[in-house]
Amino acid sequence: MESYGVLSILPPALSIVLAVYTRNIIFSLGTGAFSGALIIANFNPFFAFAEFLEDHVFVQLAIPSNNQVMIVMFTIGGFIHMLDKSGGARAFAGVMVKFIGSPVKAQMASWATGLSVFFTDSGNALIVGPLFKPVFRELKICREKLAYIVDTTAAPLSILIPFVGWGVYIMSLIENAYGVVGLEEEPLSVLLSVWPYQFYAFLALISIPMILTTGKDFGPMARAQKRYNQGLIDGTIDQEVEEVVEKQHDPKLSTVFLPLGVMFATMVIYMGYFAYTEGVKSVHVRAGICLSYLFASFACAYLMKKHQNKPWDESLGLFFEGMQKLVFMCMVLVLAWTLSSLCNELQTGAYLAALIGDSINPSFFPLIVFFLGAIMSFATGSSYGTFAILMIIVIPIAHTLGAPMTLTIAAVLSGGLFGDHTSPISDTTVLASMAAGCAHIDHVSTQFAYAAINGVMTMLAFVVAGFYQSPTIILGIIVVQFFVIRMAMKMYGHDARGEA
Amino acid sequence: MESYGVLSVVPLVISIFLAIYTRNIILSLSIGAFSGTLILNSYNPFFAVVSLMSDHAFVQASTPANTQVLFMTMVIGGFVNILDESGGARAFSAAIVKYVSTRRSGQFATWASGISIFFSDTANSLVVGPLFRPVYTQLKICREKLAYIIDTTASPVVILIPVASWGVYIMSLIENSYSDMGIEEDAFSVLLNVWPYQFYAFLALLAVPMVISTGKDFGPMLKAQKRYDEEVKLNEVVEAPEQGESRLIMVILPFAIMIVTLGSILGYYAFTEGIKSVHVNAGLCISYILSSGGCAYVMKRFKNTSYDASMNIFFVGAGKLITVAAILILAWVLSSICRDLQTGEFLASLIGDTLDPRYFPIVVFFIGTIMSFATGSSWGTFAILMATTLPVANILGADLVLTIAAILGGGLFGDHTSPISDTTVLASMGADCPHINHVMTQLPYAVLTGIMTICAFILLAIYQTPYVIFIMIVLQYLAIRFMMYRYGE
Repeated sequence: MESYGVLSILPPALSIVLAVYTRNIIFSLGTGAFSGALIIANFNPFFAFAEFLEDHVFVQLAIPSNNQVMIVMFTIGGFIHMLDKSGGARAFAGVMVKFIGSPVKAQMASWATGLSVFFTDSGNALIVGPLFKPVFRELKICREKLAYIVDTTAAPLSILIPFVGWGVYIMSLIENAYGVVGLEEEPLSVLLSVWPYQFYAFLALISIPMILTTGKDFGPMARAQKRYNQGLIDGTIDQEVEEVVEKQHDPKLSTVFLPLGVMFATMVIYMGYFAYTEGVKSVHVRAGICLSYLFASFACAYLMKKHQNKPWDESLGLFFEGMQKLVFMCMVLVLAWTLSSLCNELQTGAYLAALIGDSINPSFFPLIVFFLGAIMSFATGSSYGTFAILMIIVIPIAHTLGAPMTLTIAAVLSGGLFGDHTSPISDTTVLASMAAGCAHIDHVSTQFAYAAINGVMTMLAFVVAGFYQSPTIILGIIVVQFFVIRMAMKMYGHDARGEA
Repeated sequence: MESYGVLSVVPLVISIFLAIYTRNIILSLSIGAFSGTLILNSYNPFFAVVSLMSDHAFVQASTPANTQVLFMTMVIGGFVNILDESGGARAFSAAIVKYVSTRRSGQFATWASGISIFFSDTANSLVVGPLFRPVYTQLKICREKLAYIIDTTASPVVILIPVASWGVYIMSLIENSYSDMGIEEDAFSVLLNVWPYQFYAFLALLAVPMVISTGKDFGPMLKAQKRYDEEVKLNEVVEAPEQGESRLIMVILPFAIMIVTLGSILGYYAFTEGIKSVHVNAGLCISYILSSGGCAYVMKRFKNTSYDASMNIFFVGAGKLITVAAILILAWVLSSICRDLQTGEFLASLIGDTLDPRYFPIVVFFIGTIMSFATGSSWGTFAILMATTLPVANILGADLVLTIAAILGGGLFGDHTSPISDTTVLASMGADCPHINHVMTQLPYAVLTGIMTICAFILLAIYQTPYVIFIMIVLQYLAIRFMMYRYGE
């Protein structure tokens, strides 16, 4: 095979630059991939188009595993949308509100509710936010705190669950990159081995109860609370009548439990059968997920028919509406696969690895990846776009350098998540401020201080893990984080509620 | 392989029956497919589900040819949506409206703009309809006539364009059936062979100017026009306000890009390795993507729509076609299950000795009409019939090209007359007339064309030549003249 030298890094480099500059992930990936096709076709645009579509896009689409991933993604999208519209999740979250007494308990309840709505990231903010808004107002807790809690229980939670959209998406990227470097491993088992190293996700989730139990705040959040108190006294905020949460059909709790129950039962039976017979291959995982979600959707449609008298046709329509929402994400996937297959042909990974060569210690590689991911994700506001580009580039490099693979993948995920969490232009951040009803810029600045602690802790974890890789690191780092937060609260924090 | 006998038609019967009964093509196809895997897996529901997913759905969805079709369907959906939003499609028709002054020329203009929007069936109703509504009000022509014209220039035009979505879809079905039967032939050339035999499409299209040129109407349409005249006398209908200005460049640029790209790509391959269907697919994708880019540029320039917003419009359009993609996958699944069950062989053995293969296309045309009318979905009908009747035709020795033409003709005819077809619904919506009125007024005209189509297939059974279409056109002209002379006013 011909060597393309420095040209081989053009496609991913172009994708990254364009992603940061235009913030349009589809355009960036598409242009990057096309530039790769141009290089292979000796800069003849005509042949580049043919190469691009016929040898890469069409080929990638027809690879069974890729194709199955898209079907799974669409199915999940359909189910989530249906469940969302059934109002079941809202009814479920409504139950949580009942266990509220003190301000700390109220915040803990919003955290717990956020955790229990694990099946959707954007839905999380939209369900939990409006529900707890009146509670927080009653207890005079500022909206920024609510935004922080719903934002933190959205993406960091979804990323930890292998069978929701995020998991399927990440597994597909891993499978693709592994195929390129010639590693044979089931993506599910890779994801599971990466799981304990998803430091940022764990730390972000756990940091909430750590902060809440102190009953205090520091930095911008404390100031926000003071501002809020002042506003209450002046009567400048929160005088508007709270909009009543829509309760057209008074959804029953079973609307969420039965579908989820059906989903888990199907998944367990399906996987269980194959675990005892021929072993759970990734095609079984995907077929199982797909079927579980289909049956769950069916159960959901049945309940809507029964309790809300919604015709089957309408439920089917809802399902398809949900699928439509995923067209964009699937397009990102297709382009990511294409870019990856082009990079493989251009031998980008090998070139970059040779370039880096011995200049860095492979143990530090995950840390570098984490930085890259955080910067890219912060600049683009898109964690899944970051995952797509970085997995393609860093997995082959890590493979050549001999850097720990699970840590590298974990670093991509943590970096992407951290950047996305702090980025003002990320859609999950925007949704969180919207759902909590606070000014977007306030949410971003108040959250930043807390998220930064998690980020620093994550870096620390990657440094330690680089030299001593053990799943128990996460426990150690949680303890460290606990003391750091306690200390920060002791030095700078105060219970700002009631102060003016 | 084991023979399933009469059980092998169960999935098909269930699909058709449920489609008629529930009018939900997705549900019907999936239950039909599931019943098929149940039979194949000795009624063990667990294995039936497993095999439905792993052996059929996943396999069918990842055939290269099939994935290309799915991808292209999405791209076309995106393009149509962006063209629609850019106002380009409206600009296109607006250019034609300039030359309209009389009732007759008004209707001709509708017909011409209906034909000029050849790339989509639904866009036709939604673009031409609203555009011509004010013209019809001014010229005092009833809305039912508008609905009839846009409905007729929707599907029958698109089906005749091999590079539009219908052509792509039909080719994929043909390819699928042909490879099942072990026939090696390029789907594109098959479609071109079928082309001159698409009687219903041609006759329906030509019926419109024939009817218009008489300046008369008969039957329910006549009544509708009279009713409308009464209403106009009673109260002046309020004119719809003019929508935002749209420039001609908005449509010329995208189409120029599309034609140039497609032409140069297909031209290149025609001279080198020959046009394979993967080249057609790739060429179409590129052309549609580039001309969507053209649309986005025009929108940026004249309407100050950001590129990001244009891209969103594109994806919304692509998303709209998800349902179509799901129908496609299910249809492929059903056909692959029928292959395993050997449904085609069984049906052929039933009809086998009783039927002269020359008359087989006529039978297929009838079946197609009934199914399509009952389900309101010509695409669903195509999918089911292509998968089932083509193998039968092959075994009987009936002409495959004619059988395909009969499927298309029947499906189109049934869809055109069916009150539950989405194109029919869209036409009433676009023309803004009560749906039932549109169905009733259109029926006599469509049935006339349908009868002519049956005559054409009978003629063909006796004497096969592509020129039959010309005889039929003359015959139809005389028939319409006669009807108008006898009953028209």
